[in-house]
Amino acid sequence: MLMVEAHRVHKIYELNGLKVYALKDVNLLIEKGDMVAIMGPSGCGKTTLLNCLSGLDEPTSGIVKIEGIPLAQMNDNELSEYRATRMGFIFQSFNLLPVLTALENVELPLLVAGINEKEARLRALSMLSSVDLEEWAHHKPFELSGGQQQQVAVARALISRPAIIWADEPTGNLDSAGADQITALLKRLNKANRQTFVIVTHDPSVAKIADRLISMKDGAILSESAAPIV
Amino acid sequence: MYLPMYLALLGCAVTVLLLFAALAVTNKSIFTMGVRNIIRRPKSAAIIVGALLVSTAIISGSLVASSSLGYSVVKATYDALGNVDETVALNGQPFNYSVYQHVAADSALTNNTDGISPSLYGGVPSVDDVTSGITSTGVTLVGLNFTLDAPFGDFVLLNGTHTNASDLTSSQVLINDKLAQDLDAHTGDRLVVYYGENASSVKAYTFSVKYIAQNEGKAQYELNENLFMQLSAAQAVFQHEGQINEIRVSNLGDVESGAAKSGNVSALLTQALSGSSQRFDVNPVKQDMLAAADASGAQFLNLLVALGTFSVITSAMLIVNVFVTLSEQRRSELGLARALGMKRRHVIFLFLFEGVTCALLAAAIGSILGIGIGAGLIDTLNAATTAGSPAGASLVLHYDLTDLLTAFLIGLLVAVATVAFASYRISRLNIVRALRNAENSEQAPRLPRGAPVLGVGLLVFGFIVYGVSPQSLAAQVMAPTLIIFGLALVALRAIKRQQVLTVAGAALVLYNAGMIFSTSGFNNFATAVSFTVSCLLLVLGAVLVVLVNATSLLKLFSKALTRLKASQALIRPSSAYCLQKRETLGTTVTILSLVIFLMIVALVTAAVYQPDISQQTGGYDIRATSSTPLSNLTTLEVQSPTSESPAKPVALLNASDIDFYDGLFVANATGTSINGQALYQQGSETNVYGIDANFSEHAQYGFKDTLADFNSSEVWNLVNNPHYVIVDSSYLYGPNGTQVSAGDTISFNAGNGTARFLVAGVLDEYYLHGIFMSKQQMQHYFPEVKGDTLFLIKSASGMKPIDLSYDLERGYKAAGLNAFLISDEVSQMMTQSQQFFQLTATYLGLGLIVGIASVGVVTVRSTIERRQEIGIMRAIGFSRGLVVKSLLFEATFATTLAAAVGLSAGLVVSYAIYTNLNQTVKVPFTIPIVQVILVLVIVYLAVAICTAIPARNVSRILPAEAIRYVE
Repeated sequence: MLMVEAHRVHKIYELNGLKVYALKDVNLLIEKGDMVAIMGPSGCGKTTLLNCLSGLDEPTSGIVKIEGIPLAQMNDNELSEYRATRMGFIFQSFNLLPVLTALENVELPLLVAGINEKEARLRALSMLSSVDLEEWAHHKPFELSGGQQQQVAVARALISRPAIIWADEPTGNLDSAGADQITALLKRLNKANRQTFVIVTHDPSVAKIADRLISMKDGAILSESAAPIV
Repeated sequence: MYLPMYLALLGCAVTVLLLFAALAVTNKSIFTMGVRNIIRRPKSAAIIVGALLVSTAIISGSLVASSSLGYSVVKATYDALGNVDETVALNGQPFNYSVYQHVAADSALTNNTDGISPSLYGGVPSVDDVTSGITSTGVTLVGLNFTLDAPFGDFVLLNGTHTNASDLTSSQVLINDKLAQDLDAHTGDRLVVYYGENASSVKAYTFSVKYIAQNEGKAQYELNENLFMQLSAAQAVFQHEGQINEIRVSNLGDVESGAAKSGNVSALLTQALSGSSQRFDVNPVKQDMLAAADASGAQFLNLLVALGTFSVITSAMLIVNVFVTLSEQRRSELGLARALGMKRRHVIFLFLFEGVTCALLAAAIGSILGIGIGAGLIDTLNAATTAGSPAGASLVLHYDLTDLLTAFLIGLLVAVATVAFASYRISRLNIVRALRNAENSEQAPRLPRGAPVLGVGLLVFGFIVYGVSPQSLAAQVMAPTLIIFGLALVALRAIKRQQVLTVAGAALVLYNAGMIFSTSGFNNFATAVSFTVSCLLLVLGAVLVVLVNATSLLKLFSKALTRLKASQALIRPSSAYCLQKRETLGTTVTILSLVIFLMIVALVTAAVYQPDISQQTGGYDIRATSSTPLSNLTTLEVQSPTSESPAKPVALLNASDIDFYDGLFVANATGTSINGQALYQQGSETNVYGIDANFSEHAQYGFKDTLADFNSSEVWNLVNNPHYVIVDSSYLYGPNGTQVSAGDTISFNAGNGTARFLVAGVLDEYYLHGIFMSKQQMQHYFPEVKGDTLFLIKSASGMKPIDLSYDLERGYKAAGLNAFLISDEVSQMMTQSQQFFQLTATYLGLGLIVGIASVGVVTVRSTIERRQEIGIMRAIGFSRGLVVKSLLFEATFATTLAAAVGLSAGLVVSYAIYTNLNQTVKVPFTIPIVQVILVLVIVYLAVAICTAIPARNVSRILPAEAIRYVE
């Protein structure tokens, strides 16, 4: 079953009257349960592609469909609800809400999805436990290490059992031990829950765990392979 | 303003500017960067200048308005009195011309004066212009010896020529333009003047108009419609042959400089008259009126300063917020500058140079804009003529360079101080972290090691301040505050922060509430400052209490919202943000509390002064006054005049139009005092009313206070006893304005001595201001009173009071009768009070606008800071609407706290003002619930709009863009 479809996707930024072609005619299909890694040099359009596919950004032209539904046809409320229930996001700089504790950050997507407070709290604790962070549940992000923050971010991304997880350089701000921990975690979850993962990365060790590898250059897909090319 | 204060102010400003110049010279590159920022970002510079000029404009407006008030009263004094500096009178009664001759022969007096002139003046019932057929009532007839009066200045005729009018014959008069316009009179017109001691002796006297003088100088004596004639002619009209009732004295010097010699000349006059068997009043009229002008101007300034302080403080908070917001916007630039070696002090200088340059510009613009604010205040005061102008004159806008310069200097110093604080505040931002978009951790600040030592220091300083001058208002306000904070700092070592600060805040609230309740009026600058500071500390104490308990209050608030089925997703991050960003919450709550507090005080105080009209009317519809005593109102006894003048029609008033009426004697007493103390801000002159059994039977006035064991009717009967009087409730006496009560002794000058009475009852009204005694007593103390000149009338059912008033005026024209609807007069008095309160509300409205603007800046700043977080929230499923609601939750919480603080503090202060001012007017304390709710709704809506607009804009940014946001 197709999870993501992208047809003739273009993204053009205008900077001081100058057009920058961030994505050029991108066509892509991602099956449910796939773990896809997108690689390429800095500025090649990886993050822009991920943002356009996930609905965080709008392509200048082209069609993006998630589970068969064109994103352009969804209004803000529908898209927000979809993100709350069917998508999870992991960012390079963790992007946890600094005013909330680890536990509160993790349970927030459930509250947005309308899950009651008690159940949300139980599930969040369980999720933190699954990433070995239950002791840190009541700590604010600035009290956690980078690896711990990213683990919280992963827990937050997965808490609502999304169909697809978008990860933008999930190990970019971590040391090798932290990166390995996160990589293993992602792989384990992918195998256990058959969730779709789309990972933008520079890190070959992350790319290794992917089922498919997409290489990009200058806003276009350069090559695509079923097996990792490192 | 006092010269030493002005010089100190000038010295401070010059020192600050020199320091600023020295810093600019030694840090040229930073100075250039700072000034260049103004040119690079004209919009930001405009915002800074706009925020900075508010305080200067408010200060300038206050100074201009008080100068205008003082100037107008002084001008009215000079206009009304001309060269007259002192007058000698005998309690309004005529006295022999020889008294004048005796005074004029005194060499010590003649050496110190440039004119002494006898006069006989008084009101005449009516004057007819036979040529135009128009009648005027309420005209003052002034009889002068024009040759002796020449030193008091010439009359200026309409064509601009001058005359001393000494060529008037006994059948000619000079009238002022005010009377000429009233009568449509021209030179050559024949005027008939009616006068009689009572209605049966009214006679008509015919004169021709020889001159019409412009309304200036002595022609506008007492600012009335005046008719001048030879002294002998006036003596014939008033039937006081060989008598005068006033000696006018002009001191050496001109209209303005003469008044300064009043003390000396008054003493000489008193000495010259000391041998007389009669008790003459020597009145330094001009000096007294000038002193009153000074006092009213100063009092008005004190009130405006007290009110304006709140707006100035709010605008200072606005400036700090504007600067911090600008620094947020420039953080990457600042981070880069710091990375290139710019030190923290250089960051301070950078913003200081930019801010002080803007402050100079803002102070200049603000001081000029203040003229507009002053003009607006004067316009509002002019609408409330009586409330605004003690002299009853129209106020004119007046200011001088000193006012503007003072406002400029104060505004500049306030702006520089605020900019310096804001610059320091900016320099404390962790710019490097800001550059990385990393959130500053905002934990509760740690207690500095030296806190207990500082606490002990504050305690010692507080006790020293109190010990040096325990009675001073400054010590009473400042010392306890220092002691409270000193104790708090010491206690923080051992006791939890929340408990200590809650107790400290509560102590501030309680102490300052006590101070506010004990303050009476704005009599002097120190009291005004003390009252203002106490109000501020009361509000800040309450803000402190709610902020340190914000966690518990937030739980309650969230619980309430949860019951309203608000999403937990909305509440969770918002409440966390409220508690984490205490500074933002504190700023918002403080500003809004001050704004709501001020509006509540203005509204409640205004509402209290909407007394029940029926309480003031006493059951009567019409108040009528006649220049000539009338024995009854239903059958007029006016005889046809005996001279050649046309016969006056006899009034034909239908007796059935009147249900009942009561006639009262009226006189004016001087030297009034209560319990041996002078009246409070009321002058020593007072009305005295002679009443009879009819009045006490008909009048429906209640008593506010009576002698123990006496009921109302017994108190009315007591006035038949020569030792008792009744007074209305508006009498205050002593330095603090104590209200008169039953059992007090009230006295006034009478003949050669002093008449003393015991107050049997205090009426619960203020419309008829005066002392009520029996008519027999009146005739004893005021033999010149010949009959009833004040009538209180109840119209018959079916007869409209307004129609009856017209009939009365028409019918009793010859007696100079004027009739007024009591309900209209009371309403007018109330309207004037209301307009005064409107003025207060308008002035406070400036604070409201500044406060809302400031909150707007805070919310914009908060939204800018959280742009990235909003992007994250959007990424995890927050819809645009939920983002906006989330930010509105915070605004609602802050507004709720502020409403609680502002409303309670406002009601406490309003009640304190009420209990204080209620000494003058007894009215129930009422809260205008609808208006209060309206103010709260307006404030909330303003805050909600200020929050929703930037929140909506940010929420519309695509999440990907918001997340990668770096300025």
